[in-house]
Amino acid sequence: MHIPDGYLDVWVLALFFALTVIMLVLAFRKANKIVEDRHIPLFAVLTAAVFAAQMINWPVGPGGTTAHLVGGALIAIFLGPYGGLIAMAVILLIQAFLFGDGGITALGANIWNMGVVDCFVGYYLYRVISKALGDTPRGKIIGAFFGGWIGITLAAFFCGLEIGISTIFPYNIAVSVPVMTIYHCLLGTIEGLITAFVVGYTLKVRPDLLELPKINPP
Amino acid sequence: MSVLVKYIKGRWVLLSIVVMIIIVLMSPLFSYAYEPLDYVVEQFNAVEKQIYEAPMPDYIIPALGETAISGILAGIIGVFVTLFVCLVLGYVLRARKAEGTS
Repeated sequence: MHIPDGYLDVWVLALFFALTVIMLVLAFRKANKIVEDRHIPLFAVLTAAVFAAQMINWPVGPGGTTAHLVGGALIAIFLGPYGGLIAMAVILLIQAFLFGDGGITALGANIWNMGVVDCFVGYYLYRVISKALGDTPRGKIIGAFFGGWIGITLAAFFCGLEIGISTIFPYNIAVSVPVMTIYHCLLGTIEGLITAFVVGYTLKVRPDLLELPKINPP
Repeated sequence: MSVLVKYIKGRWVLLSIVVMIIIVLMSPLFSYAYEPLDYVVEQFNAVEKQIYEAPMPDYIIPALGETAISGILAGIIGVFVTLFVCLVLGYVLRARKAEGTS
C-alpha cells in the first residue's frame, strides 16, 4: 500500500501532505501532554514490531496478490489514534528514506492512509465494539479484529481514491477504488486476526499495557 | 544513551526484540510481494518516477547484493533504527510534558 513517487498528481500530493501535517501537529500537541515514562518502551517496541512485521508478505490474495500487516489499528488500540499516527509516521519515514519503500513526495498520502485512516478507524471501531459488548476481554478481542480488518480496508480505499483521481491512471477511480478496497477487504481479515491475537495475548499476560492513558483527540 | 537504556531493560521488552529479530530472520521466506497496488499499476502501465536513491533500496544492502543475508541485515538495521528513533522521540515528548507541568 506504499505509494511510490510519480503516481499522484501534484494537487493530490499537496492536499494529503497538508492534511497529514495538520493531524501530526495535533498529535504531537496532545502527546506532549500525555506521554509518561511507561509509554516509551511500549511505543518503541510496538513501532519496531510493526516495522518488522511489514517485511512479511502473505500470498493469499485474489489474482496472486500479497499483503503485509499495516499495524496502525494495533498501535492505536494500545496508544490511542494520535499515538498510532506518530508511530506510523516514524515507520513510513524510515521506510522511505532508508529503504526506498514508498515515495518521498507521497509521504503525506501514505501517512494519511496508514497513519490517520487506519489508526482512527481501527481505534474507534475497537472502542465502539468492545463497549457494546460490555468491555469484556471477549468484546475487546472482537473489537480488535474488526478494528484491524476495517482499518486496513478503509486505508486501501483512500489509497485507491488518491491514485484514481490522479491523471496518470487514465481509467481512474472506477477501477482503482474497487480493486484496492475489495482485495484489501479479503486480505485484511488476516490483519484483523493478528490484531485480535496480540490484544488477546496482552490481555492474558500484561493487561495493564492496554490501560495506559491514550493519546486521543480531546 | 544511558538514559534510553532504562526503557529497554524490562523482560517483555527484551523478549519482544527477540521476537522481532525472529520475524526478520523469517522474512526472506515471505519476501515475494505483489500487492493490490502493484496489480492496479500493472493495469495502467504506470511507471514509478524515482527521485531519491535510498541507501538500502528494497531492503537490500548494496555491498551484499540481493541475498537473504543482505535482506535480514537490512531488516535488523531497520528494527534497531526504529527502536532508537522511538526511544529518543518518546524521551523528548516525556521531557516536554515534564516542562509543561512544572
